Amino acid sequence: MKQKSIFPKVAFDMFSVQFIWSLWFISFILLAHIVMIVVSINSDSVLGEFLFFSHSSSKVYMLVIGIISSYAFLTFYVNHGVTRKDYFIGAALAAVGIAAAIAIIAAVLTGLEYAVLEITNLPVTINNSLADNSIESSDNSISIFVPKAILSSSILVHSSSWLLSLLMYTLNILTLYVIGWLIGSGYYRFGWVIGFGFIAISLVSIIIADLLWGTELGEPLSNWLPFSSISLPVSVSAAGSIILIGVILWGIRLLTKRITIKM
Amino acid sequence: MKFDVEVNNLSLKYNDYEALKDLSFMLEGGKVYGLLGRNGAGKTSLLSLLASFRESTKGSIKITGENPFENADIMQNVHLIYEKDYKDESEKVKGMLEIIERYRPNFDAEYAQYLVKRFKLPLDKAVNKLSRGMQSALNVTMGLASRAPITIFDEAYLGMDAPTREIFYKELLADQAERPRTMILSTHLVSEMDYLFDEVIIIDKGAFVLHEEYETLISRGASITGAAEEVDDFVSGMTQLNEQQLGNTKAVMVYGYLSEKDKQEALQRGLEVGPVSLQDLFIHLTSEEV
Repeated sequence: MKQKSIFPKVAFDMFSVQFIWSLWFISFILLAHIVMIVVSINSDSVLGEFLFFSHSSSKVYMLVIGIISSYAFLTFYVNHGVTRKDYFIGAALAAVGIAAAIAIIAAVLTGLEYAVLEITNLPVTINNSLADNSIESSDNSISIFVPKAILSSSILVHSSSWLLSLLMYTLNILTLYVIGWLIGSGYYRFGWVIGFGFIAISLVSIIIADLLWGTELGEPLSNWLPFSSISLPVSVSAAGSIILIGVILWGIRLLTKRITIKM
Repeated sequence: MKFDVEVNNLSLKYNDYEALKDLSFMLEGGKVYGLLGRNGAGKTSLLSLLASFRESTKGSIKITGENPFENADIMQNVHLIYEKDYKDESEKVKGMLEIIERYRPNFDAEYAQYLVKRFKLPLDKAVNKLSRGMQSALNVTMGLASRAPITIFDEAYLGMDAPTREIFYKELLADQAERPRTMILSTHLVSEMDYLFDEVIIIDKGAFVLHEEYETLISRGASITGAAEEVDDFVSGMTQLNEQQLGNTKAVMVYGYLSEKDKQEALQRGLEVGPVSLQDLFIHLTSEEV
């Protein structure tokens, strides 16, 4: 009596749970963004659109829920008779879904943002073509690095490449999710001492991901590199990102393939 | 389908520590097994292997003839219930049951509702807000309602008060009578649960001690009750497990088969021969002195 595959169920369930978390996350970011808009109205500073604004926080958020993935779901699923393999495939699919969902929601909100600002005619300057690759508040206290590619292909500036923007946003935050998942799996399997090693691997992965997208490197550890950013065609960046995600996923699978479940 | 469990030369090492040493036994499907062992005997290690939580260092486990590890068809049908850490579980009782239903092919939602009422579980309360006893009752509810062909309760009653444990035992027996499945109950509350067991497996310090039918096992001992001097005289030379005295009346538990001749002799001396408790046998068989 063969049951049908269980991973689609895992994927759907993990997506649903994390989607609810993500809605909370996006609400908070949206709130913060609205506050920023109000501040910028009163202080004349330049503001990045929501897609830019949410990008770096989304990365951190995805890193965090990636770390939680093993602890929150692996034990539960194996305890309920789901194989580690079905968990892995389901969790990976859910992660792709969550990354895409956040990107789509961020894009829709950005569209709404423009529409609302247009209609209300508020005196806000939204900058989506910053040349120096970073968004800075007027007093330089906040600086957010954004991938060039997203900047130069903002959905509203070049509406023809909105799909590309979405893809980039999705790949960027998905990379952070799998990096978090790798850290979580490393800790789950080896405990905290060896777990630190996974943080080192993750830092390297984050640097690679940033280089792929031509982002200026923000991590102090990358100072030893002879260059601070490289320029790649978008297709190469995307392909590189997908390969990086694939390699990390492969690492997670190796770690969790026969992992002992914590009781 | 019958879910027979076959364990062969099973060993498990944690670094240098041998948690399980060369265990071999066979569990025929559809019976209730009591797994007894002292603290640290390796009960949970053994059960976590059966539930594919980990892999053995040596030896094999076969369920329906197949290795259960990472085998979806078998893992879905094995349910290990143990005391979980629910401090971060903000899901409500109702939600928990709904999730379980999605992953347990034999889950019976109606029966789950019935058990929820029996245990007076609040459906709309978050699991981490339940008392320890209530969390155990929820675990037991999920365990019974999953109706997994192999259901393993590892000290599942922890935190439950005596009346709640009684409900658990009653419902377990009632459901087992209607839908026999393999149940493995690990416990140290031997005296309270012995009547549930069809068969008993005892392990000690990671090693196999015995696997016998409950009735056979308790016939391997007897309690001799009567006048103190007569009792002392009769049991001299026998392995004594335990003795109790009230006034001049003494009861001694002895280990070893009593022949018909022995029993006749006891009767002639005015002694009463009764069954021994599994608890006393268990203590005897796993005590340090043996």
